[in-house]
Amino acid sequence: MTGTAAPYALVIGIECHVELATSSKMFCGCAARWFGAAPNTLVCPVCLGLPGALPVPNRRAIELAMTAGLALHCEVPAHTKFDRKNYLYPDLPKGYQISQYDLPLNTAGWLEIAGDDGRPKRIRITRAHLEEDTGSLHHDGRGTLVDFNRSGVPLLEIVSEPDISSAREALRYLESLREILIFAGVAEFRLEEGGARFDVNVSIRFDEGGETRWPPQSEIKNLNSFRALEEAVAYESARLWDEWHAGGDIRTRRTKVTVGWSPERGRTFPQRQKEEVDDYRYFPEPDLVPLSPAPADVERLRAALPEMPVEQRARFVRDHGLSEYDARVLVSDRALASFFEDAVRAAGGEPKQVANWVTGELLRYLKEGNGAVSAAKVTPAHIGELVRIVKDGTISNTAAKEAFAEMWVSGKAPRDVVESKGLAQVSDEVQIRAAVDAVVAENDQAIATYRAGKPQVLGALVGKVMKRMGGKANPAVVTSVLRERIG
Amino acid sequence: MSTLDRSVVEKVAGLARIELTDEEIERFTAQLSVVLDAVDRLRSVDTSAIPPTASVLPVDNVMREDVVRPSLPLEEVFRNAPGRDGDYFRVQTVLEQR
Ligand SMILES: [Zn+2]
Repeated sequence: MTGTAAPYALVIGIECHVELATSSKMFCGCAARWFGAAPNTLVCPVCLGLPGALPVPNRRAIELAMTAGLALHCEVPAHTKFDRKNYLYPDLPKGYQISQYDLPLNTAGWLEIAGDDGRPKRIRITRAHLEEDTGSLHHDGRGTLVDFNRSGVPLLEIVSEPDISSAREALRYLESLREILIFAGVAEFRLEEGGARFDVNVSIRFDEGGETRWPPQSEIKNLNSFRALEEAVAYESARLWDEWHAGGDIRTRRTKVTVGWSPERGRTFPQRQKEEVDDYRYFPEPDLVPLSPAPADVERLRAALPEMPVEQRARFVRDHGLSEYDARVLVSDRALASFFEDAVRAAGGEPKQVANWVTGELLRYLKEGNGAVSAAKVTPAHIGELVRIVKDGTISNTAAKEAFAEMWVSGKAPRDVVESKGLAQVSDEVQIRAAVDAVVAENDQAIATYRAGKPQVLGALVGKVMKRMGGKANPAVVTSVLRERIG
Repeated sequence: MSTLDRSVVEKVAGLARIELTDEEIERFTAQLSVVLDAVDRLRSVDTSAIPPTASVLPVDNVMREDVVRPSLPLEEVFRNAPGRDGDYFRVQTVLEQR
């Protein structure tokens, strides 16, 4: 990977296309969840581009796009509109894509990542605009097959400034973006289902004979995984450097090149130079009227924004005293994070104990059962109660784990499980004293050893008392009674 | 006066994937020049006091609710398709992938 060791600085900007989590498409009522559907079953005259069909924007898509912008600290313009981007390609049935050109829905935002020097770094976001996705093409030996199910799915294109300085920072930027969009309920960001794609602009900058060289960039199109992005950036930046030193046309060329990425070969390949901006012949979409986001609506969406992951993690560490690791695990899933907070409330505090249960037993059982937090029979109130009865000595930690297993299956409250399974531990000193007496009577040798100055024998004696009481004695009480008796 | 030359017409035809003969290029260059000159006359109107607009319609914020409606049955989908292969549209091979 290209890091500090490389003889050049990397300058990276990313365009991220992400499908919005709507039920229906951007401009028609066809279902937006195209992945896995039988070909061409989610299409209508609008998304097939049939003559005379008219688009009507999806209110939810516009709200989600604005929510994304607000979460990314963008400005919301007073006026915005849709434009036609004209180009001919078989995945685009109308011969144009409805997009946004000069008045995007969101402008001038930022998000913060950990920079390569470990310090917080802001990556500026130029714009985030709405457009429609295209159909998908399949190539076989005889030609090209087109499925228009994806055509017209709402797509948010988020364009960063070239503020990213390494492949690692690029990954952190995308991970952060993904987390924010999922948390805000804007997108599901399912890369494996084609729900997000990236175009990455890569250039290198270096000194040569006292002069700064900044040759034209490469645009790597249509990356669909974080891994592809990492590998493609490393490959292409090294290739630019090599081409410069081999005296290639990069030395004289003024414009960027467009390349694709072949994960199989681990290399980029040149692509047809797509149209320049002028060639797209953008003009205002005559079939749609402009949008003027009402300030009241903007404020309503802003108020509905959940706490963002980076802030929530910081708060969990600061207010709950959790480790960075636990905070990261809990905040990886919005439902898990709120489960944790509800459980802390139910426990009346004890956030560390609650976190242990949630990141330990709960997550383990969820993983085994491949289930979602929301579907679990164990509730935050149950975890709160479990923490409380461990703390007040009603049950031991070991018994609590046994109780959890039962709660997981039956959904019963901890106290009911403790009662029905007889898990309560005995703290009653009369019973414990009797058991201690019996153990002391049978272990002269061990007691002599203890008195001779070997306190480590105590553990074995505690174990014998516990065994005698069927493991239900409170070990702290046993230890103190025993010490008192033989000390 | 517009100075449209034939290279512009060739370029626009290329973007539209339309093949034109030499004679057509000549003819369209002349015709399009007339159109552009006519549109050019709009520049002489003083618009400094008129707020910019993207639409001539006196409405904005027309939207629909996010509700799924039935899509077309397959036989309707392919009714006018130039080529069908199973449940896909078949088109001429595209050499370069986007
Ligand atoms: Zn449709």
